[in-house]
Order: sequence, then structure tokens, then C-alpha cells
Amino acid sequence: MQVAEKERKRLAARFEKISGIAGGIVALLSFLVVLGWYVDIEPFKHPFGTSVSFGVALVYFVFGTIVALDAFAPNSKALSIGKLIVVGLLSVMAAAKCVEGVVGTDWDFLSINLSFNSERMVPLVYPGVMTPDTALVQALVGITYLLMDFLQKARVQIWQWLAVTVIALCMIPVFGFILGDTNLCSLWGCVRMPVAFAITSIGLEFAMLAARPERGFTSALIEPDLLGTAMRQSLFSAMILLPLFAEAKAVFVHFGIFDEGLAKSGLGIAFMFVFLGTVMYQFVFAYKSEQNMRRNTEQRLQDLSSQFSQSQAENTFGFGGKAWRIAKCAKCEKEFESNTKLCPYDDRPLDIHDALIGQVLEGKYKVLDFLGRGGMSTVYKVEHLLLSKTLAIKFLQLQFVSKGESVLRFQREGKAMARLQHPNLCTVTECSIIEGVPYLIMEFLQGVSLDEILKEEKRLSARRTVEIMLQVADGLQHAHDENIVHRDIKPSNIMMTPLDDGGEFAKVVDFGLARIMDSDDQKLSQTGEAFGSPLYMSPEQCLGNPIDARTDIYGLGCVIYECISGNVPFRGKTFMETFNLHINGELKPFAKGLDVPPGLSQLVERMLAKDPIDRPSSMTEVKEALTSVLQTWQKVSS
Amino acid sequence: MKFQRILAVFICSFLATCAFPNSLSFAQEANPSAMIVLIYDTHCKTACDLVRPIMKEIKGEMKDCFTFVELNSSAETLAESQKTAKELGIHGFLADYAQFVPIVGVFTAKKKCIKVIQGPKGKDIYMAALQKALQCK
Repeated sequence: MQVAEKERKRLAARFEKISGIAGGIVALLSFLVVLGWYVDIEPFKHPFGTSVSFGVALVYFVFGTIVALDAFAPNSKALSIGKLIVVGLLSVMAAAKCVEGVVGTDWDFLSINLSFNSERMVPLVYPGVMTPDTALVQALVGITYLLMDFLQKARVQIWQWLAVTVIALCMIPVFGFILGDTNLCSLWGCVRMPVAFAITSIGLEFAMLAARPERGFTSALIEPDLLGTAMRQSLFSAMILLPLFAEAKAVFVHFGIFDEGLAKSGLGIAFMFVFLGTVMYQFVFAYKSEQNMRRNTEQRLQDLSSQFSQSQAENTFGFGGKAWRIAKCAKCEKEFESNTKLCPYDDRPLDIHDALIGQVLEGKYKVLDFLGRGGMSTVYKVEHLLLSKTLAIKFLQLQFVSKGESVLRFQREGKAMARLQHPNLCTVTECSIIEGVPYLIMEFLQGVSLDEILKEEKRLSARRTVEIMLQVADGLQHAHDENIVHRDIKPSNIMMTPLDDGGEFAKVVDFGLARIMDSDDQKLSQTGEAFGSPLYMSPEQCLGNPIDARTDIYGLGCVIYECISGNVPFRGKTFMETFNLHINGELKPFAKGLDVPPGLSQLVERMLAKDPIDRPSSMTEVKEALTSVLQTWQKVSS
Repeated sequence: MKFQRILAVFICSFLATCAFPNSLSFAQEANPSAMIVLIYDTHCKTACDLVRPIMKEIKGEMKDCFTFVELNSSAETLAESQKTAKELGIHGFLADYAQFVPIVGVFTAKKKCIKVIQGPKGKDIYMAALQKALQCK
């Protein structure tokens, strides 16, 4: 699951909660009005200085409660059906009342007396007094609720448009109230909708829209980007400003601070300016922030790209900045980087000159041969002269040794890695510094790297891959148990040694870039550093975000994918493009012909999840899944 | 906590606003005969102007049986209408229904409202309500 998707879900959950609260507020306010009618509390019958009839308040009490229940209470089928029946009946009654008003008739059967006190001057009747516009809005609110869960996958969510229509209708009396004209008459009659009713209707429709935020146009409101934020803030500004200004108008008029006309028109205009200003501010802010963010991201990716280029270049040079391994042209005697094959001037094959070979380091390590060079380090075969034992020495690149902090970190990590004692991990026996360059002494491994095997065989069978990866996962689990993250899992860091019984033994090498997951090291391995090989880097590594053991799970996922399919999961033309693919690219499923069991393909999919939360939580989980796949094969073959 | 605070502010605002409309209560009964009360508003053009001629017509036919009262709820005449309503013992009716104009209340001789008719209707509907009021008498 991508980070954006997760954020969207979080916002959706928040909107659903807001929906419940809005429904609850409507229910509470309507209940107060109903109470006002029953016990004759005059102020309760007149919220916002307007009358709300008993029947209208009663229906909104029910609607509000149902919407709140929808958001907070678990939805049983029986309860859902009950809710639909109640809302359906109330909507039919409201629609009938609307027709009654428009036709100009009087249907006595629509009146249900709900008075407890027979001595009342005016009995409390449902639906009772209800203007046609009020009845229409009430019916539409009910229909909106009824349609909410029908045709969920339709492109056009009719109920949402209905909700917007109702909100627009209700805005007429609200604006009329703010602008001081409550007599909105036209050729067909007068809108006498009470403002309090209009506001609660808007609240109810908003609650319904918020209840299903992932559908239709409301999905724009849960977009985690800045435009979505601007839309959310504008919406909430309107929701807060409207009742605030209505309230302010009532206060100013009541206390005689302004003349009624001035209060109405002045506050109306002020509302328009404040609202439009707020909306414009939100959108301008969103636009500018989006641009800044894009600029920063581009800059960051360029920095990372150049960091890697520099790393490649500096890798050729050795102690004190002097080249110890160079390619030299025998004819023109010009020197080039050791990976240059032909002289660009003479077009002749170049000879490799390595100043380190034959040297004795620290009085005991005689450099025998050059073994290889990775993106971050160079490895030589050495002989321990006192013990007569063949070992490997690995030097870290110069860019990492130029800072005292890096050297300290390297030493600390070296110490920690020396603790790692596991058959599937390459053992580190010493960590020291020679002429300012930190180095590690490791066990020397006979065999070839997985990378070389892949180059030769293109791809491995799913079963062989699982057998190898089980060993790798076992070694990595041990490292993780010691709070060490490798950070650079790739085929060239997995050494394969053939066994006498025909099997293969895997060892994870190159822990030189590993990170210790304790508090001090979090300070040293600060956010913003990018280590690893672009083709196997996790999204959080690409972004320079904090990492943990799940980064290795991602790296291992990339290796499994490559072993089985013959291709890395994400490959761009440039570093930046590869980073982008790791962060946002979609994983191609394994081709059907590869015969990958569903359990294995699902595991790889999970291991390559963009968000670390969606990956297996530990290497143990990966091992269990791999073992299960292997057991299935074993059962089938037996 | 944030939502609780918002809810508290909302409820307080609601209660504060509730205090602004007049807090009239039902007055004592004053008129012994059955009564038909029309509340209208000068600014309510279309709907109120449809009801008023009908009421005049009914008044011509049934003035012996009913007391006909017209109360104008527009801001300019509201105070006067409130005074009249108080005298007639229907002050509460005016307070509760003044914003639903045009509205007709049919009261029995005991000042019990047996029918509230909102919006413009045909004459026969008003007449039926009056007949019912007479029966209650």
C-alpha cells in the first residue's frame, strides 16, 4: 500500500467520524427543539431566532440519530434494514406533505397527534405545519440517505448530487437571512424555510457526504495532497463561518450595536469577503507549497544522483587521495580509472596497475589479489602472515572517511558486526583504520556471487531461489536480532559456495554499510543519507527516510524477484528514474510461464510493498512463508 | 477534546440565540366565540395574497358563527399584532407560527385549536375546518 493511499484511508476514517459528530449535533439540536415544543420552552422552539415546527424537528432528530449511528455503531443487517424503513417512511410522509402544499389540499390522514397533554391549545401533530419547501428538502434529505448505499460503484453518485442540490437550496434562506431578506417570494410562492432548519439540513447532508468520503467527488476531499488540504480547509471555513456570522448578526441586532439593516447587509458582505479570502488564501498557499515541494524533491533527487556519481568516481582512488588501482596505457602511459578498458587516445587495451598488491598492511596482512569493487567498497584477498590464514580486507570509500563522524560510526558498526556469528553471514574479525581509511577484515569466501550466477544462468528456478533465500533470510534474521540492518542486500552481496552434496551454501557479505538500530546511531545515520544500490533500494532509502529491518526485507524481495524472473523489479534509465519507480512504480506480477506458486508471488508482493507497514514485519515471517512454500513442494514431490 | 469543545461552543451558541425571539406564553382565554385566525405578512406576496381574499369571502358567509382575526406578522406591525393576540388569548399561537405565513388557525369557543392550515388552500378546505369547529362548539 502506498503512503498516499494510507493517508487517504486515515482522512476517510476522520471524515466518517466527523459525519457521526455532525449527525449527533443535528440530533441533539433537534431534540432540544422537540423538547421545547413538549414542555413549552419558548427559546428552544426558536433556534437562530426562527421557528422550527415540531414535526420538522422530530424528523431531523431521527435522521440525525441514524446518521450518527451509521458512523459510530457497528452496522448489523437488521439495524440497516430498520433504518432504511424508518427513513423511507419519514421521506414518504415529507414528500406527501410537499405534494399537499403544492396542490393546495389538506390530507387529514397525514396528521398523527403526538400530544401527551390533551389540554394543549395547539396539539402537537406530525408532520403538522410544514411549508412545501421545508417538506421537499426533508424528503430529499431522506432520499439522499436511502440512495447512499445503492450503486456504490457507479461513476456518478446520484445521492451526492442530490445532497449538493439540497445544500444549494438551503443556502437560499441562509444567505437571505444573512443579507437581511427573509421574504424570498417568486411567481410560485414564498420560501419560508426557517434558517435553523436550512442550517441543520446542510449539516445533515454534509454528514452524509462525509460518511462515504471515498466515493464520487467527495474523494477529492480526502486527497492527501495540498490541493485536497485546501479544499478541506475551505469547506470547514464555510461550515464555521456561516453559523458564526448568522450568530453575530443576531447578537448585533439584539443588543442594538448596529441598526438592523446595517448589521444584515454589512455582515453579509463581510461574510462573502472573509469566505472568499479564506478560500483564495488556501488555494494560493496550496499552489505555492506544491511548487516548493516539487522543487525540493527534484533538488534532492539530483543531489542523490550526484552523490552516487561521486561515489563511483572516488572508489578508484585510495589512501590520501592517491590512486592505488589504475588502468595504464602501455603506449602513451596515460592513467585512467581502473574500470576503463581501452585507451581513448590509442584505442589499446589498458594494463591494470594495483599499488596495493604485494604490500603488507599493519605488518601482518599481505595483499594477495584484487577481489572486486562494489558501489561503496573495494575488497582484496589478503594473507594473515602470522596465522597463515587467507582473509579478505575491505576498504570503505573515501567520501565516507573524510568526516570524523563517519569514522566513528564505521568503528562502532565494525565492532557490532564482529558480534555477528552465523553460518550464513560473513564473519568480520577486525575493524581498524589505516592511513585514515577504515577497513574490515573478513573471512575469505570461496565461490561465486549470486550476481555472477545470474549473469550466467539469467534466472533460477523458483525452488532453487527459495532454498537460497531461506539461508539468506536466516542470516539476516540473526543480524536483525542483533539490531543490525544490512541496507545493501543485492545478488553481488550474496556469496554462493558449492557443497559436497551438490547443494549450495549462501552467505551474506558486505555488512560494511550496515546500520545499528540504537539511539546513538540514529543520530549518526541521520535522515537524508542515501546508501545502497539503486536497483535494490527501498522507497524509504530512496527518500532518505529513517530505515529499519524492513528495508532488508524489501532488498531481499528485489533479489527474489530478480532470481525468478531474470529482471530486477524496478529499473529506470537513470538513478532518479529508478528511485521514482521504487517510490511510486507498480510491480509487474511474475509471468505465468515461470510457474511461481501463489504463496511465493504473494510473499514477494508483500516484501516489495512501498510502505514498510505493509511488508512482513520481520525476517522470521519471511522465513516462515518461504518454508511453507518449500514444504508444499516437498509434499507434492513425495 | 477538540470536538467536545466545538460541540460545547455550538450548543452555547444555539442556546444564546434561542433567547432572542420573544418569549411569549399562552395568555388567558378572552373571547368566548369560535375563532378563525389568519397570520400573514405584508412582505409575503404570492402566498399570503392568495389566502386573504378567500378569508374575506368566508368571513362574509360565516361572520355570525365565527370571530375572524387577521394578524400581520411583518416587523412594522408585529407589536400591534402581539397586543391583539394577547387580548384574544392566542399570543402563543402567534409566537409559534408567525414565521409560517400564511397560516390559518381554527379555534373552538374554548380556545382549543382544532386545525392549523399552512399555506394557501382552496375555500372548501377552510370551510370543512370551520364546520368541524362548529361541531366542537
